[in-house]
Amino acid sequence: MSGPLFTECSEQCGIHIWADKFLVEILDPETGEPVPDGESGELVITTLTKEALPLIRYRVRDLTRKLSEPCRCGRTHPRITRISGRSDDMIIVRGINVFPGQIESVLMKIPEVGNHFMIIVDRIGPLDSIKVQIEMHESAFSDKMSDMMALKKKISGALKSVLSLAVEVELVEHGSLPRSEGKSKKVIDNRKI
Amino acid sequence: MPEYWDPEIETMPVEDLKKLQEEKLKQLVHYVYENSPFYRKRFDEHGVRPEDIRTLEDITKLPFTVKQDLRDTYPTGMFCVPNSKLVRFHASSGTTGKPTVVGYTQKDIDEWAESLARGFTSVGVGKDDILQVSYGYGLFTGGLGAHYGSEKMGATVLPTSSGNTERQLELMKDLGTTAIACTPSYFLYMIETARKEGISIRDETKLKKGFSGPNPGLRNLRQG
Repeated sequence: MSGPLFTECSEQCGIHIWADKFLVEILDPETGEPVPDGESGELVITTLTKEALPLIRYRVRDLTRKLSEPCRCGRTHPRITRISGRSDDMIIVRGINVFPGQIESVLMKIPEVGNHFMIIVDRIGPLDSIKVQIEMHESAFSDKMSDMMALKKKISGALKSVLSLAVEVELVEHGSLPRSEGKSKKVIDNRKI
Repeated sequence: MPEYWDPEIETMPVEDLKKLQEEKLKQLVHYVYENSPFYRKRFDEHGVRPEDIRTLEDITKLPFTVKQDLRDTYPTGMFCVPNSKLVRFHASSGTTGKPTVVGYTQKDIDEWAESLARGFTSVGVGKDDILQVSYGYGLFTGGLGAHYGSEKMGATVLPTSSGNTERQLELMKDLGTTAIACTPSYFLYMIETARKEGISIRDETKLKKGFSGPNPGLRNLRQG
């Protein structure tokens, strides 16, 4: 993974930000104060070499952490973790902050889960509900109802332990969720204010 | 073995890097104050002058910039150079509001290409590779960014852009693409299209390396 600002080197252990071109701060999104090294906060970037459109302390709204140990690749440029979510992608469900990135990282650790999912937030009566439609890995779809029930339970348990929120899990067949050729949309929020 | 595009810069001792950043930051605040009415006003309102920035830690004295500033000054109100110095525009898709426009001088383009040349080198893509750029070309920065980075590094670019996936797969096979730059979601789409066409990317192409930009967090691209 790479871009104008950074590279994830072959060690795949965090992202190096090119420090001769960009200055990184990790700040508390609420207070704007620096978080202690290693804690999660909002990425703030200052471009050091841009001529046409320099940005001073630009609030990217991505959440990440600084990694302080030196990287085995030998590059000395500071490392941050892969982006764990966007501070403005946050959805609030029954008063609890939920980042799509949190759900993604839980799902991607479960081998039966495929590569696509969709988060659907609704309001039924006075209560918010959150449902995740999950495409199964091709090899994992089973005819046996009991297998599927067990898997649903495993996934909702894993989500609950991370989000502190009951999430309805719906398993769908491989290939049934919409695909996009660009950035994919992962959240549908049907709530009306 | 690690290989670097620019070993001197990429492995520079941390203390030296910080000194370099400090020098560049001091120059930057003078540069924006003198060249951008937007930043001059913002600094004045915030009660900070370029001379106040003497160390890296002093950065906390500077005001923040946010996406809304780019929208409020749409299209070019934050720029520090006249049009005659610009060589290119890119624009965001504007899915969450008005699009934002970024301008580039020749130096900006060169620095950008250099960053990407470092990135390509860091994942083992080199001069011998055939790099298929399947990011969209156009207003989106992905396609042209990867294109210039790859040319700077010396790989052979196959500028397919995104879309027209069947043709992409055909060219991938026929020209022996060894590396691809695209979004993870597009790569997944390619794998599925390949399967429908009865093509095995693993067995029938020479593709070994993937290189992606946005959409963080997807698992190993090579599982297909």
